[in-house]
Amino acid sequence: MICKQDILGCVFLLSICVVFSLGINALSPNGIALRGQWNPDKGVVMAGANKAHGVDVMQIINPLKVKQLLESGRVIVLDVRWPEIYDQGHMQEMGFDVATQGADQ
Amino acid sequence: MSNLFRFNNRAYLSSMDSGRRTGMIEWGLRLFLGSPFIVASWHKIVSPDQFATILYGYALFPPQLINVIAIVMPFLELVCGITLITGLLKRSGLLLINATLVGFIFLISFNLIRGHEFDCGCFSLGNTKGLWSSVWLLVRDFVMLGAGVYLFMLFEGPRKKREDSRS
Repeated sequence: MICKQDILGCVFLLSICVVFSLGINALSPNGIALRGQWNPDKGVVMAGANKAHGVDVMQIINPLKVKQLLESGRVIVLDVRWPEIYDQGHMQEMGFDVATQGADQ
Repeated sequence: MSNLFRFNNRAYLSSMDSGRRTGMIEWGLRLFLGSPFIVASWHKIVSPDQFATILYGYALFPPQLINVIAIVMPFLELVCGITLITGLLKRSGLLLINATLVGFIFLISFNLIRGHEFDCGCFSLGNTKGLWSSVWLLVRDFVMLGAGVYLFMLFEGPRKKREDSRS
């Protein structure tokens, strides 16, 4: 039979788990955000990095915005897709094509 | 003198043997259940982002909770495994292990029934897909749950004895 002590023990263990896990996640370089991006309509689904260690990730889903950034000369786009997929279609202002040129350089 | 008599008593010796056997079975089951939970927690603690992606692949969890589950769940597995092996709060640890196993069985069964392919993420990240893999997972979890329930019944024995000796 499950007694009151067992239930209290479970609550105690769960509390330890929550405190430890959130603490270690906050301090770890591999830590993730408490809320991820899991809506496919809003772009790539991902857990998202922990704010304390995360690198700023800019997610652009508007092609016009990409064009503007390329024309401004502030960014370089690396196309890391396989050559077969690259040949099917790619941007003309591409700064650097890793699939065909990157291996040599 | 009375002790000497008790050692010569066959019934007492056989009860001692059965007690030792039960102890061995209990230890075996504690290792059988505790160690996989500890091993399984490690890669999830190291790569919570990948584990979160696997949880997303189950297509059952609310998006707001996926990351929190991916953060807390591996530590729950680790702590429960440690409690079961060390014996500290072992009954509570075992209850939580049994509860998580019931949860796993529900998740796997539900996805099997609706034909949704998913990666289990139990011991490694990204190589356990397919129908037979899911069926094997289900069998494994049922065996572990059976062992867990039996172990809880074994834990009841000493507690009953203590209560009997008090009354």
